[in-house]
Amino acid sequence: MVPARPAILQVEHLRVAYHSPRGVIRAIEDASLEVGEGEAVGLVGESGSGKSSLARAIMGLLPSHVARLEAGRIVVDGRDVTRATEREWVRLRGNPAAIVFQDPLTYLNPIMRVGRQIAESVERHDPDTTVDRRVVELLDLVRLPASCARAYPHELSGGMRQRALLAVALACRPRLLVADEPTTALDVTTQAEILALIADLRQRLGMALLLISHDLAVIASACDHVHVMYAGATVESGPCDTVFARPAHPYTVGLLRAATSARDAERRFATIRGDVPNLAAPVTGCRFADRCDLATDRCVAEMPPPVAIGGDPTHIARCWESTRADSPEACT
Amino acid sequence: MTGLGSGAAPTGGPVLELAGVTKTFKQSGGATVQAVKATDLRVDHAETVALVGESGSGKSTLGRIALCLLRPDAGRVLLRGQDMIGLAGRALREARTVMQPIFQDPTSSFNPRRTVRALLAQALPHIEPDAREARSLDLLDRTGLSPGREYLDRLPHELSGGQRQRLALARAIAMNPALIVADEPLSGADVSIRGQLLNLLLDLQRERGVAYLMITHDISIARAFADRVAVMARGEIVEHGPARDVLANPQHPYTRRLVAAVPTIGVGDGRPRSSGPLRS
Repeated sequence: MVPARPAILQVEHLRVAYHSPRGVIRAIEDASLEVGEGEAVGLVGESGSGKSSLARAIMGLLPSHVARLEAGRIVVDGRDVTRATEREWVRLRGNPAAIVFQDPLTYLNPIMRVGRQIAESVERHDPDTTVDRRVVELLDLVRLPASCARAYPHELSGGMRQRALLAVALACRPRLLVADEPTTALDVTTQAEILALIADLRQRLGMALLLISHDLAVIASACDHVHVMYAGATVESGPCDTVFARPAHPYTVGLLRAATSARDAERRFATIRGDVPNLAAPVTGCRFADRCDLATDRCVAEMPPPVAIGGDPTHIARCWESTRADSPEACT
Repeated sequence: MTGLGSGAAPTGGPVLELAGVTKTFKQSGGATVQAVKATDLRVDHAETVALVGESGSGKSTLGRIALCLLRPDAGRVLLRGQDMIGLAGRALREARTVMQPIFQDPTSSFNPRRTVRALLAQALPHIEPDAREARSLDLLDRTGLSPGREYLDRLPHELSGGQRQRLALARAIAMNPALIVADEPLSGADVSIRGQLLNLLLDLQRERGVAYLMITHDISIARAFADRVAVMARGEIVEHGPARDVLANPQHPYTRRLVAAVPTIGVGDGRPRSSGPLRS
């Protein structure tokens, strides 16, 4: 895939496993993605897809005592950070890439005023500025009143906490914002406000976005490009318009039908049979094969390679049967 | 499958009626919050009503009042015509078995040290001990946990999230309820298995006439699944009616705002994908 803009983030064939006394969990089998400078990219997946592990790997936040980066590369702003040490990560985190999470209350210090927490981030990344003025500027940027600087996290609503966490992240002047389910715990109207704020910040600051969500509609409304992850592998990627209109992977097809609450002639809801996979079990072929109606012997035996769909180099899917995926029998 | 015990209502008409229900909570500082204000709500036999609203709207409080887990300050709660407010103790517990709850996080409603077998046996007090295993297997099978024998000796943590939600459903239908009150039953479920759970609920309704009161913030689920929708804001039902009308053509400004805030994929409905104001 040739990026239109220079890449701020490249992940190539990443493999991550968690080793515990009870066994090995292969959280990421083979994940690749790319985020161009200033671009908004979505990463969609269900629980156990590996999307949050991928976000943590990008930020050097994998639990080092159990997680092993077994193959592949992570390149942030042209620099290979795959083997970066914790000491190097301390300097790398925040700039060029910063992260916000689903539950801001876990990541904000409960006994420190919000303004102080933003100030800490400013002092670390912007030592030459007048800290107080920059804190007010950042609160204004995320549309929080200046009085919030004196508040403790528990005194703020869920939406305001997410704004506060955004301010901490933006204090680092990131060129890439990684947002891991930033609106999942919020009401729809608050979700719309936060997504609009992120879109506005992207435009004003020229910041790239990697938005991770289980919700296809959230990705569709906020991103230009989407990657679909299933059981540790990026199985389909392409421009949102293309992927949502002409999905090539049977999993994407099923997910789209489920997400739009599609119902068949007998008024039954579209489903993908089976359950999300058990990552502890070793699998040789395509991990979706046991839930896929198109699966053949080859799917069970061999992991399909990424191929361009319909000659479009921006639309990639990993499926031996991708040409049949959007046919009516693909998903029941 | 015929159960002993209460049994689903054989007739049409209302299963649940709330009339003029009011609930006020006192806060620690002495201030009061009126969580539910003089609210009416009716759920008929074999009907699905979605109670939609944001956090703090009072929808879960109303759900807890419907389940008789919370006593309202004023108003009436009728379950198949029986006034529930005056009941207490054993009489209340018995009358209440006609309805069963399902919560967002089934994990917290299971004793983590009990096997699936023991958890189901708890819900089958009206069945002879010898017949419980056969009935349990039947329930597991009905809820898509098949073959049931593979699940009987598992502990809750040995099930996936979707399987736990199915077990919660199996337990709820073990009592042969006329009404299931489900508070955000799909929020914890993965998108790909959502359809399986919804189909299961549809089958139960078709076969046994179970009514559902589904409390949810997810408007797309309400639109797809419910017959009627009641929209709640600040303790009041601001709009109600057939699901299609209310959500396709909302009248109340609050409902309009709520519907407009829902992001859409917009595939196959002829509209451009980015209908919201969210895309830069």
